[in-house]
Amino acid sequence: MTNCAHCSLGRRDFIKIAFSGAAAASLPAWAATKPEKAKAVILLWMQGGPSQIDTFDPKPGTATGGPFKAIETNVAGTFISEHLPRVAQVADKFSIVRTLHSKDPNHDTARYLLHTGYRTDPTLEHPHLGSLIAAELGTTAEGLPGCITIGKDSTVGSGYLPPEQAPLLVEKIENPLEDLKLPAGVTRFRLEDRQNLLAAQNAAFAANHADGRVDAQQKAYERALALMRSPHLKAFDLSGEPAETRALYGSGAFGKACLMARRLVEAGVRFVEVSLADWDTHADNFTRSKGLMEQLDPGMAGLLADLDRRKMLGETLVVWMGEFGRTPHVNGGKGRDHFTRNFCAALAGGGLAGGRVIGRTNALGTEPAERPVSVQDLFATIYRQLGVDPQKKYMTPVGRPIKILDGGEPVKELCS
Amino acid sequence: MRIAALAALLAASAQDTPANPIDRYFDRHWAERQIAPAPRADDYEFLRRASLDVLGRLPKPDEIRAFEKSPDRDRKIDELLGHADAAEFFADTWMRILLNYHFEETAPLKMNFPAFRGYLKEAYAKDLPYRDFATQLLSDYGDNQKKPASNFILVALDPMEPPHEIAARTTRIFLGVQLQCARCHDHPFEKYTQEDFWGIAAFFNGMKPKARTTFDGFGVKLMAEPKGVMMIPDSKTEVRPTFLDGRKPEADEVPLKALARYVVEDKQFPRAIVNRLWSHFMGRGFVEPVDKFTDRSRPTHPALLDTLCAELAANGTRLKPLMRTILSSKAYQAGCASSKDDDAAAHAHMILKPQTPVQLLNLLNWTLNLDVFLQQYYQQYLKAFGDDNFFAKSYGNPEVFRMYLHIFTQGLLAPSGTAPEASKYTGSVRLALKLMNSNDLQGLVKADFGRLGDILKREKTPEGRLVEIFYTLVSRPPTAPERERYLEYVQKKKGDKKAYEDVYWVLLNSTELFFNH
Repeated sequence: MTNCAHCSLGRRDFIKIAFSGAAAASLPAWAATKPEKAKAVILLWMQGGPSQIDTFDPKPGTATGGPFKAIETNVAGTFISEHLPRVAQVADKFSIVRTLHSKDPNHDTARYLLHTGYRTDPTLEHPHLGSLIAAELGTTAEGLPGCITIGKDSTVGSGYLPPEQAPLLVEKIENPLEDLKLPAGVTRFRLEDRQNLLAAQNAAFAANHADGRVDAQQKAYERALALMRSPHLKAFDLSGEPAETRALYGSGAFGKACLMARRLVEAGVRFVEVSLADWDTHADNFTRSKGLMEQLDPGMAGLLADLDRRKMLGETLVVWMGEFGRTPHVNGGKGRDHFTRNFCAALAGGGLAGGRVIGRTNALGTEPAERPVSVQDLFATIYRQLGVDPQKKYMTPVGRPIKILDGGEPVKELCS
Repeated sequence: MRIAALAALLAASAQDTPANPIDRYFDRHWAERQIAPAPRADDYEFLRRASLDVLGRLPKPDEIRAFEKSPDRDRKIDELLGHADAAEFFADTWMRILLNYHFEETAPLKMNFPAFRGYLKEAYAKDLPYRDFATQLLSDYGDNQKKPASNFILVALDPMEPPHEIAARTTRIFLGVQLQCARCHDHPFEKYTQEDFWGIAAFFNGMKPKARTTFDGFGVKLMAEPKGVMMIPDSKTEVRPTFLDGRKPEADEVPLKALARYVVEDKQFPRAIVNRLWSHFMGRGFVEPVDKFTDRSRPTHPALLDTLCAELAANGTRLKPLMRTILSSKAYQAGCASSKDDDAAAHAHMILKPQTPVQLLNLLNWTLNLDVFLQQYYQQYLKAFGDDNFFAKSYGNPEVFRMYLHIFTQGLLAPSGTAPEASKYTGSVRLALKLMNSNDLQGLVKADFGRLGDILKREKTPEGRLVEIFYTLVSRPPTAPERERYLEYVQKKKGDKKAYEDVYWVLLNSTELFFNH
């Protein structure tokens, strides 16, 4: 028990700090070489916890395998679910981690863990992975935040980072600019009238109340206005894309969101999260998982192929994961429940090796058999590819320095 | 100077000693430091402040008018404390505290939400002694409908994990002692060890929800099967249920009952709740963060903290008398205007408080009829999906519907995983965009519809309409410059009623609206 998920410090660190003044990093030599290849990340977030057996770790013909068949991908010897046929054809672009594991079977706290690398802590909010990456790498798209989430709210914010690093949520893929556009009946001129009145109204209040939170409130409005006026808003508009490209991503909402993610990364956004919700298949797992994979398949395959042909894949790291996996055991309602002992992630681009499988689970998928990978290892891998030093410390509002990541080692088999 | 101040102090104390212990304390404190307290807040500001702090909502225009006629503050305080809306507000506020400041969408599946919220409302309404409140939350088990307090433990238990979350919540919420770091290692800066943490957790060892077979989370039983010793995870160390001071329950006792007794007898118990209430009303705890006392904590006003703890004990740990004392104090009723050089901790002026998520929810309900809008949304949902499923049934329950409203507001303030605590208030771009642009919400700010529509129908003159809009949104009449500015604007628009939509919009987005001043 040397690592505490709640603190930035483990017991060993106390001793180090006490005796040497600072905690020294002790990573293997290969991990310390910085590739700095990736400049952006697209996270394909599978909200609810997808079944690993029914997606990227199939166990056909076993007691836990379920009804789906496995198909061979374009990487000889690597099999995935039959319901991901197009993804199977770009399997050389990504690698599968089959032994990701955690100890958190609750949606909210596991989602937090897989978005921050830390467990929840009532005394400290950690930043969204994308907020951290945006803060570290800087943003280049005027008016747009460095981290954008499309679809469902990840409920993880900027944590101890400044509020301008908070992820911007785009809820409606069909109407992404919903709240950025002026409401019906409000013209530019009318907005100007309103803004002038508002400025006068706020000036009087601010003059009498010297308080940083008054400034923060006004800054939030300024950021909102900057967003409304951003020259990059066309990145949200898919109508300019050729029909051929749109077809590549499929007609589903998830595919469209993936295309939007590519456009946002092109515009200079550092981190885009695209979520596909409803993987919480306690009942009727197979019908529902099949339906979700029908959306996932064109979106993910289209994204990887499109990034590849645009020569963007080298600089764009794509990560597929959810908050946990699902039980090998099929329950009475043909569902699978939460499972954290081994579940899957897939990683592509950003300088990582493709076509590999990391870790192996046992015959029934109930235990990792080889090469377990922790959530921290996964985060260390992502940070390494972006040139983010996980040992770097930020000072938190409660006056406690905290490392970007506590523990974890990059997955060597992915990085070479 | 010192001597002059002391002389003034002696003269003041010779004249009269205020009955309110907070006034006694601060009269002396301010005089000794030669701090001039801010002038008393005017009646509008007082009414808005106290309504937000006690009812969790803005005063309604008719309430403002009634108070204009007879501005008796003491009577108003009693009226507010006894108001049914206060029970709603404190139920919601406690709910946030007890559920870790975050409503999970799945919470209705894990607990009996209606029973729990009903329990919290009743506890406020009858001013259940805080000692009994804590005892029930920490030691009730069994049927979570008949023993609604048991939902507190129930929702914090995870069948897959040892009871660490409930242990951390118990000491943090009721004692202001944060042990969670000691879960994995001895606390680096405090006296607590890993064994202290697991000693608390061990009290809950053997508590478990009786398995649910359906999606109906309302009826769950919290089972108590005391197991005595437990192992610290990933170690070979055994721990028995042990309180922070080393006390252990009797062999024949349900450990929870002993824990509840130890907690309410602890000297931190009154300090934690007094600090929490002080922060709620005064905008800053004696100790910050509000639930983190450490050996190194230096309360801003230790003597006053002790005085208020004594007052709490004298009132049999009922909270309303203490609330009344705070609400009627000069420090609470001081004006809010401040400058950069002020020492906020001196409480010589009221500290600005950002609206809490609960207050914000009530505010949106009031200014936009949001609850009506969401009920319509719910009716559409029923039409589309039928009413024979768990979520439809739960929406039909007003208490659960209330929770979905919370999730909705939480989403507006998000992304932000936990409590937007006052000290790190950052505003919300998402809320700003919604309030400025959302067609759904803007559709509720219409000259011929909703709250604004009613005002324009009732009031016929520009002056009357303006005042009513101000009463509705910022609980005060417009100042002279405001009156001039807005009347000119309305005139310029030549009687177009849309001009009032603009005025409503401006106040809805104004900085003043987001704060309790």
